[in-house]
Amino acid sequence: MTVRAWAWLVVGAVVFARLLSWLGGYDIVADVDPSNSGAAPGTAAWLGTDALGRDIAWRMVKATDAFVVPSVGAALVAVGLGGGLGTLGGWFGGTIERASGAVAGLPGAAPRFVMVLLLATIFEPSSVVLAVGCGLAFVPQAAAEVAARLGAMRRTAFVEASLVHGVGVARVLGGHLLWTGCRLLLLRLALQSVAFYVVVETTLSYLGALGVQEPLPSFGNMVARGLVDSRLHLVARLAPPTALWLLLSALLHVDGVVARRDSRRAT
Amino acid sequence: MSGALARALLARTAAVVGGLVAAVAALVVLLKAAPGDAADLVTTDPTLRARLVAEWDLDAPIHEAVGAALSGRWGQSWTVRPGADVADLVMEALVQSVPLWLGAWALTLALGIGWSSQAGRARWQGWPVLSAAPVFLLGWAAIVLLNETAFAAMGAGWINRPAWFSLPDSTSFLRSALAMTVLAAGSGGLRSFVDGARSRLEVHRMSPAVEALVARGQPTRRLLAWLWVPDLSVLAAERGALLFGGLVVVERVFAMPGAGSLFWEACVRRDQPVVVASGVVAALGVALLRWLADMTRVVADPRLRELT
Repeated sequence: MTVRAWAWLVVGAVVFARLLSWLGGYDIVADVDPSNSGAAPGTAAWLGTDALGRDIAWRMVKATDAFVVPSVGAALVAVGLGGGLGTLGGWFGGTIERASGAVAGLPGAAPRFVMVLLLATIFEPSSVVLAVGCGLAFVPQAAAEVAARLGAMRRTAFVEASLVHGVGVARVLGGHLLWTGCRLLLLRLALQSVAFYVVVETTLSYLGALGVQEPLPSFGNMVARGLVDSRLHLVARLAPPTALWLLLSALLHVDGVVARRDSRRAT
Repeated sequence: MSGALARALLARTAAVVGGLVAAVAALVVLLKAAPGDAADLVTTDPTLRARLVAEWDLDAPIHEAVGAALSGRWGQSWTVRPGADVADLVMEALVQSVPLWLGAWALTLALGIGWSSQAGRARWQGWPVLSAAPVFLLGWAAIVLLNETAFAAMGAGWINRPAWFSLPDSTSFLRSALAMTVLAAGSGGLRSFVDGARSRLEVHRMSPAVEALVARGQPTRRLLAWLWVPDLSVLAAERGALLFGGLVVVERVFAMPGAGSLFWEACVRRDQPVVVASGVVAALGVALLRWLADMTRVVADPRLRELT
């Protein structure tokens, strides 16, 4: 199996797990069974159980609730707002480009993780606020890259010719420039903001306080429990961190594949 | 100094300072716009609430609040260390964090520049995948691996209890070195630095100036290094800014005191003055790094002076 196929398989497995969690009807409270604490992997619990006797495999499936949908929200914020401001700047240029660049650059004034924590503290550390924060963190990059690419394409002869021949601005901008020239770039930014959301959510859950709280599962709080409880079976301790690492590696790899394709198209 | 260079430096400085002021203003506006205020968290008694609002300057107009935040008048801590001066708290924490941040930054630059300049030679392809793990996960893996290996070795009677045992609770050189390495390598940061630096170097290798030197059989190393400096300065500034965020995580995972730990405590305990102060200091750090990168680029690349 190629690395690319493996990466798509991991991403597909996470999406499938989210669907399974939605359909599966796993009850996080009813699953508690202290008499079955720290069980080894078997037919009843494929990856063993934790200190409260809960099925690690099912909790990992349920943990996808914490990041799959909100991370898509983060990607939409990054691509929508960043791409929108970049489109404005790249198409009109001049003062509008400087103004949209300044607005888009605001979230980039603080480090990404610090900015998300600031928003979570000022408002609430909910998944919506985290998604908006993670999306905003990529707005400066999205706006700058889209503006640069559109700015260069705006001055090409085929754009001038299309406009002179009466093709609408919306069609030239949306169909020719954004779709043809920027869709892979926007896909990359979406993938990066998805990965960033996963990192932020699991980190906050690992550190406690601002993340997903027990009994709800997150890869972050499952890793934290595995750190303090050495009585758990090795598979039960290693499964959540391995799954998280595989997911992030896969996202990074897919991002690299898209980047290479984008670079080939650009040249 | 030429007029164009001076104008370029001035313009870049003004842009960085303007960005910093706008960011602090945005932070203050967000704090004011958020539903409820800190006094609401403490009491429902109107008399006490009015006193707290006056004492904590919660009703100060936005321009005054921005001025206070920018000038370092952050007041006193509410919950992290009640009554302590926030400026002193932040300074004390920064002194503890700066060596860790500098060490991680230097390690990133050394490894990143070393790896990215190895184009064409045999490289181990697996490290970018390892680098994908988030900072907390790398820290977790290091702690579990070291603790359990040491525990097993002690149980077998191979070693005595090492001084660093029971990480991360005991202070040791190993803990600091691990924290620095994890901060430098985690969350794909090292990989993105290497990818960025390598792709820019490839572009420069194909530039007409370098090809002309190659055609004449002359060495290209010096020219390539000079062309690479502006790109590296931007990448180094970006990576340095991201490490500020990583400090929060690594200091918590390794139970180390410092600015990251202070910021986290302030966020958890809703200590608004400390949160604002930490946000301003982080924004100042990012602005300073960008300013340094801009200065380096403008000095190293004369073409950028004309664009300003």
